[in-house]
Parts: sequence; structure tokens; C-alpha cells
Amino acid sequence: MCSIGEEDFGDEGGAHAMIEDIKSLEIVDEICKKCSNEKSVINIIYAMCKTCFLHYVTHKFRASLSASKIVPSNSKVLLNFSGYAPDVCILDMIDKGLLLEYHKKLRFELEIIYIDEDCLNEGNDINDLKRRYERIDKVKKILEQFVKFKCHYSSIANKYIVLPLDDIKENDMNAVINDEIKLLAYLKSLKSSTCKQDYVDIIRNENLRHIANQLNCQFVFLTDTTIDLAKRFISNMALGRGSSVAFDVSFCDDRVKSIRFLRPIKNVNMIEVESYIKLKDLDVIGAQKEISNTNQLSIQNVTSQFIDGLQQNFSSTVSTVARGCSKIAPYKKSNQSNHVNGEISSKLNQTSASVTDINQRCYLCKSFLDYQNSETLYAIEFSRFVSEAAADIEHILKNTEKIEEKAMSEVNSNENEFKKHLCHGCRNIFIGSSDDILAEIFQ
Amino acid sequence: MVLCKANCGNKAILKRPKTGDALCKECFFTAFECEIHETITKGQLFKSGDKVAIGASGGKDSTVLAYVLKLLNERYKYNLKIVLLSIDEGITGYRDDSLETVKKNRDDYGMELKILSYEELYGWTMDKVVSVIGKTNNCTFCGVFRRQALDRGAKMLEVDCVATGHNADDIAETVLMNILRGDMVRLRRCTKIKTHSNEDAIPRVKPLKYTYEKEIVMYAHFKKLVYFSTECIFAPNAYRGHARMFLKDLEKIRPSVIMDIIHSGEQIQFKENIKKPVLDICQTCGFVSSCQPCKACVLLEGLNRGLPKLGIGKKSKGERMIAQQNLERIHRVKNDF
Ligand SMILES: [Zn+2]
Ligand SMILES: [Zn+2]
Ligand SMILES: [Zn+2]
Ligand SMILES: [Zn+2]
Repeated sequence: MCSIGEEDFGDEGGAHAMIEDIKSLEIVDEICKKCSNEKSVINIIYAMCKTCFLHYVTHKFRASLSASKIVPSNSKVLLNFSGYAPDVCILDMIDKGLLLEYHKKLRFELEIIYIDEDCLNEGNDINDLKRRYERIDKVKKILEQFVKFKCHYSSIANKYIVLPLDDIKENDMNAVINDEIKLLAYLKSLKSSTCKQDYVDIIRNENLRHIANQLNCQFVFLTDTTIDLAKRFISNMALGRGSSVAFDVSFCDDRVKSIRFLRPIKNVNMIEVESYIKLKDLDVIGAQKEISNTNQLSIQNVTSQFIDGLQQNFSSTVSTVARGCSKIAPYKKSNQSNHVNGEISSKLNQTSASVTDINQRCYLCKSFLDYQNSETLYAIEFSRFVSEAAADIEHILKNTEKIEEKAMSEVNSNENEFKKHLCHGCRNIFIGSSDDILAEIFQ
Repeated sequence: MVLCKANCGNKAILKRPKTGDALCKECFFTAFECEIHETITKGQLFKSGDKVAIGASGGKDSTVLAYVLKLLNERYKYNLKIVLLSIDEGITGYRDDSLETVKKNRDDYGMELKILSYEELYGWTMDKVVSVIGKTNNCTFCGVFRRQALDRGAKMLEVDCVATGHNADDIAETVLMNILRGDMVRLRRCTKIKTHSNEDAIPRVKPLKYTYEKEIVMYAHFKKLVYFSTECIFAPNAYRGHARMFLKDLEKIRPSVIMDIIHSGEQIQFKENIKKPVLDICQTCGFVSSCQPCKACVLLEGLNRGLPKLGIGKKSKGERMIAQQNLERIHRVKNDF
């Protein structure tokens, strides 16, 4: 059968065709198209000199902040920093922005958090304090390139430990090792790399919120670039997180009102970041933050490789995906008109209305609960019960309503106090794990 | 030996990708059919007395759909009149063979069959289109023409709805594809089980929305259904190919990913300012369209004018091309005198 569906053709017809990149980043002796003065050093949309290019990247960063007007003067902002190119790029722009003259000056106070995730990489020996300290020392050196900011150290395994980064000594890391062992043991009880990575992403956000709160910061800057958004958009869709993906790819993630996550360089791509770093000769740990254990097959890793592949030859597709991120909304419209077809939605709504209201949040990821009227989740549960009963079709015919009730009850998790408080994506983290493992997160 | 989950005592012959449950052959048939029945009743896809056209391509999906719909119609007394509607794109070595399969379905299931050809509708076969435009954009023509041809056929047959063989994998793949090309309007629409292009239009329904492709293949195999399984001989669409391979890789890691993607596609919310297409009637051909004239008419005009690229690129570009050609014509007319 022809694989082309009618959904393939918009009003633009085949304008949707995937466009292969024309590789023309090379610069022939050209004059900067912007200032028509200096010799160009880079060709992004057009040939630009160093000054104009740096201005262009900085403008993207500052425009996102000024357009949103979310950060009031004198706010305290926490930057999530691990020393990679995007982190250093944004820090450099803030560093320079704070020194500018009156009307251009950035008006917030910045502190920096370094979250130690060394333990997550399975190849690493967490007890090798020397190696671990070298890493932190490297981060400290990178930070020395800038004005003195208050820098803090924490571990992914314990959000309560927040130490001044400068004072960290080799032996201080003994303080987190026990927590790291505990975290690793917990991760081991989750059934797949996909689940583990998803869980870590959630606790990282949770830790950032907690630490920001402790440090009296109302905002956290995340250093996601265009390609990070594209990857997260698609992998979160595949993880079943469609209802909350907008929070994870938008400029402002305000699912928790008191601590908002901002992504001020989401419109900057990796070529721009790397060129910025190169032109300013900045020291970094690496180009892009590597995900731990990339050799393992997981939804996130396979998506990441898929997008990296597109970036190689179809980079405009990556920007298209990232642009799509700005068209989706995290909040539900007041009138739910999504699933009007079928009686199932009304039934599901009736049974769930008493249990949960529409604004109830997921205990883990803090997004809205999304299972109440899902016909798709119902279809999965129905499938499970009908498989169990499939030996006797007469029985199914006679007991259809009972099977339907059981399936609906499963979707709404009437029997499981824990699952009731989790969105579909977070429930997926615990696929195949025992209820005890699930119960632990509620303690 | 793995035993059937349904406790019938038989050996399991497959593991269901949606839930991981292992079933024997007979129990698989029962569960497979009951689920489609559930999808039909819960989604209220049909009403008693409806005349339903199955968009029949001869492929596994529409063949299984025809077989199962006939069976459920009898088992649960839906009281439907089911007919087959096929589109002959005029692709030698592909469609002519698959149409033979559809004819066999017609005879096996005792259903009326209507075949509509691009040639009679548009005056062009796909063979001819490809000979003019080459193999780069032919899928655009084929897709746009087919979409309208199904509407036309449904109208001719006076049916109440058209059932298509889109399965769960197809829908998940379309969700991914629409994200890859940034088409939020279609992303919103593609997960719907029932689509009305407007109030007068004949609705399309997808009874296999929650059925995995793997199970459709298994069902057809065990039931020994005859279907046609060659891919279209013309170049496949690059986006589909990419999205499909990616989805298969994801499915190997977590088979439930297909349902998760459909769920995600349904749950995703859009900003208010995303324009929704206003569906209207094309003033040239009278069929439903979101633009004037409709895509099929623009493409057809391009072919007939000898400007086959018309309508493939951006709209404005097409308009410029027409204006240019009209201008040239005026010039020629002037110079003739
Ligand atoms: Zn310049
Ligand atoms: Zn959640
Ligand atoms: Zn059995
Ligand atoms: Zn038309």
C-alpha cells in the first residue's frame, strides 16, 4: 500500500519536502554584510564580522528576555552550569551584560549552581575522589574566566547539600557518596534505561527548584539550545508526555509559579554557540552536555541520535521542530473540546470528576494529570482485560460492561492510590517495577 | 513453552506488542476482533443502517478492515451496508496488480466494489504524471488526487462514511512526521478517530486506530487473507521514510511507544493564535478544500498548462508562475496582430 497519507499534504503541497542542507558555511574573502566595514569571519545567514556576529548571538539571548519581560529588575537568577559550550556562552553574555552602561545593563543578580552528576555514568567509579575533584577543578577554572559570581555545588543525589563551589575539597565529596549509592540502587530498580533517564530528568528539575528556593532565586536559567528543544520535544512525545511537553520546551516553564525555569538561548543553535566560543576563545569542558550512558538503548538516546542525524544533513528540519515548540501551549483551554467523539469521554469524565479536578498536578513532574479522558489509555487497558478473557467469547459478550468498567477503573487508577497522582508519562517510569518502588517516591 | 494468557491451556503463538500479553491463535483472533468492536462502539463510528465505504487498496490494512468489518457487522448486528471503494491511480505494475486483490476481496466478501480512476476523474494517470514531472514530487500529486478521489467516490456511492485502514503505527508515524515538518494544524487533526472536513462532507473513520500493524500482519497471516504487499514503485516520501524508520527503532525499545505517541498527540495543546484552516467548497470542482481553488485543481491546472511545478512550492510562487504565463500569452496575442 502506498505509505503516503492524506495528512502528508498541506495547502503548500510538496513545500513540505525535506530540504537537504547546502554546505556553504565557508567564507570566501567577504566584507561583513551587516556593517559593510569589517572582513567577515562567519557565514550564518549572511557573511558577518566577529563584532557583528557576537552582537547577533547576544541579541537573540537578550531579545528573548526583553520580549518576555518575565524577569523584573533586581530578581535573583540561578544558572544551571556544567561547563559545556552553551553554559559558557550564556554566562559570557550575562557577564558582559552586567557590565554594560546604564540602559543596556542586565538588571538581575546571578548565582551559579553546579550539579554533580558524575555518579550517573555507569563507567565512573564514584569513590575515585581524585578523578572527581579534577572535574570540579576544571569547572572552577572555566568559571575563573568571568566576574566573580557566587557558585554553589550540589549533587544530583541530594538536593539538601548545597556547598560553596570554591571551598570544595577532594574529601568533601565523601558527603554525597552515600546518597549517590542510594540513588543508584533506586535507579537500578527501574526496569529500563528509558525509565532511568526519565526519572533523572525529573529529579534534576526537582533539585533545581529546591536549590533555587533555598538560595532565594525566583528564576532558573537553563542552557537548552535549538537542538536540545527538538530532541526533548520528540522524546517527550514518545514517552507519552504530550500533555506537559510544552513546559519542557517553552521559553518559560512556570508549572511551579514560585520558581520559573527560563530558556534564554533556545533560539541559538549549536553552530552559533560553538562559533561564539571559538571567536571569543573561551575555555569549555566540551561542546554539548553528553547524556550519561549514551551506549544504552533508550527512547531518549535513540531520539537524540535521530535528531543529530537530521542536524548533519537536514538542519532546517531541526529548526522546524524547534519552531514548533513555540506553537504549543502548556495550559489546557477552559473548555475541553479535545475528545468530543464517543461516549467514553463523557463516562470517563463522570467517573473521574469526583476524584480529580482538571488542575490537579502530577506528584512527580508537577504537570497536569492527563489520564482522565484518554481514549487511548482506555484502549490499552481494555486490550489487557480482553486478552485475559479471550478464551471465552460468550463470556466477553455477556460481560462487556464489566470489562469496560475494569478498564476505566485502571485508567483512572481507582485501585492504586499512588498511580492516581501520576501523569501517564510518570506512570511509564514505573512500568514493570513493583508497587514498593513506586511507593518510595511518595515518602 | 509460554502458555496463552487467557488460560485456555494452549501454547501462545504471539506476544501482543501493545500490552506484552502472550496469546494463542484462537484467543488472539477473539481479542483482536473484540478490540476493534470496542473502538467502533465507543467511538460511535457508525449508526445502524449506515452505508459504509471501505477505502480499499488491496494492502493488508484495508483487506483486514474489510474482513473484520464484515465479521463484526454480522456478529454484533451493526446493520451496515459495506461497499469497497478503490482508487486506480494508473500505476502500471503496482495498482493494476493490487486492484486484482481488491476484486478478489469483492468476490470473497460479497461486497459491491467501485473503482475510480485518476484517468476518468482528472484525465491523467500517475504514469503520465511521472513522465512529465519525474519522480521527485509525484507523491504530492498522488496524495492530493487520492484524497479528493475518495470524497468523490463516497459521494457517487452515496455512503454515510468512509472507513480507512489507518492503523496505530500509521497514526503515531503521522504525529512524528507532522512535528518534523512543523505542521501543528495537522498534528492536532491526525489523531482523531473521526474526521469531518465540514458539516456536509462525508466523515472518515479509522476503526483500526488502536490496532498495531504487527497484529494486522499476524491476523492476515493466520486467517490466510490475500493481500498485496508491494510498496508503490515510485520514490517513497523522504519524511515518511525517516519517520517510519525512527518509529521502528523506538518500538524495538518500548513497544508501547506507539500508543504513547498517539496519547501524546491527543493531549498536546496549541496556542490560541495557531490558525485553523477554514474548510470550504472549491469553487472550481465543488469539493471540500481549505484553499481556493483546491489543491487538486491547482495541480491539475499545472499539469494541463504544462507547468507541473505549479502548486508544489509556496502558493505565492505558483501565483507568480501563472501571472508570468498569462503575461506571456498576452504578449503573444499582441504580437500575432
Ligand atoms: Zn560587521
Ligand atoms: Zn508526571
Ligand atoms: Zn488461548
Ligand atoms: Zn477544486
